[in-house]
Amino acid sequence: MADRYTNNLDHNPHAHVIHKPGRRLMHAIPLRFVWRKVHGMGSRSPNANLNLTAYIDFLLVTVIFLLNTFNASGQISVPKEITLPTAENAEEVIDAPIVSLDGNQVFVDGQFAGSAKSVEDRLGRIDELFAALKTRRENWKTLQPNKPFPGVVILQIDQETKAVVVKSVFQTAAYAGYPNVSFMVTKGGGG
Amino acid sequence: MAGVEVGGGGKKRSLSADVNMVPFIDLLLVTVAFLLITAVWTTNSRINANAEVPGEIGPNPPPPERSLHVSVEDETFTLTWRSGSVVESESSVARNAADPTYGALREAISKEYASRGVHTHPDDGELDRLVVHTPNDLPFSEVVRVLDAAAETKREVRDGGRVAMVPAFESTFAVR
Repeated sequence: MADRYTNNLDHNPHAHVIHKPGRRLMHAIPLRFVWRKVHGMGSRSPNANLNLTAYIDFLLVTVIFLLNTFNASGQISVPKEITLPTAENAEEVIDAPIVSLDGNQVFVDGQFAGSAKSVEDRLGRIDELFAALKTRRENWKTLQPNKPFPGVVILQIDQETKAVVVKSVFQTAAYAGYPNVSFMVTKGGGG
Repeated sequence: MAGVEVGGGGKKRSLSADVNMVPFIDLLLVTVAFLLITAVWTTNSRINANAEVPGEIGPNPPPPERSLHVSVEDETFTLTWRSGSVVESESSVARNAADPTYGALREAISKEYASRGVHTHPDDGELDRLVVHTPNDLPFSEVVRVLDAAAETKREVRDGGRVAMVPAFESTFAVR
């Protein structure tokens, strides 16, 4: 009875009612049935931890590799009708006007620029192509008056095209002020 | 759950926290898929040529420079060194259509450059001229093979403190 009047909290008559705030579930209230269920009712737990470190490492390496090999400069669309020739000693494609020859039709950056029919048998100048390239050169010079004009043009020509047509386009580009002519090729082992 | 456990354990409040890795893995997967779809495995390249456009001829025109002319014929390649209209030397190489790289022509051009090349010093930024003569009906792929063979011969060029290997010849076409 003497204990009733001491300061000991364990013997406080209200101690069973008022508790300090804190976690109750799974601590003071064990919830054993929940714990058993989570752990598979005494058998092997269905809740397994997967080690994802190796998987994440693999994904990271793949992403880094793909980002490194990603190259936008070579992504120039080639019409499916054009089969490019192959060359070993080729350089990377640079940003320049692209003259493509699709059958007899000539295009400059995808815009129609005349027909090559007139130069199939004899060397000559393609007037529409000349005008289109000249306009581009003048526009470039107007927009960038302080820079030297690079004079580079890339020819996208099918591998079976006759040399006379190639030389005519080449010559036309040169007359239009593009002396540095590059031929688009597929880099490979030759042939 | 896909999570990565970090930290250790303890008696009181656990130091071990689960970082939810699912969004991160999703992001990585989407990035890999995007890069694979947009990847271009065969990139295009270019092979260079130079169109010599004659400029204005002054009262004292410079003497014609020696240049190597490669004529593509049915059975042979003829290699000729010319200074203007003067033929300095001539040799020929068999044209083997079965050789996809024209190996004999490559060797012959290299030898010709080694023996008679004009611009050979690393401080000389100019390139020797190679003029390709082709029949009008020659396929473009054959023209590129000849240009490729010409571009095989390389030499050193000093640009500031840096030495770079560049093609020894700049190629052009005979248009007559």
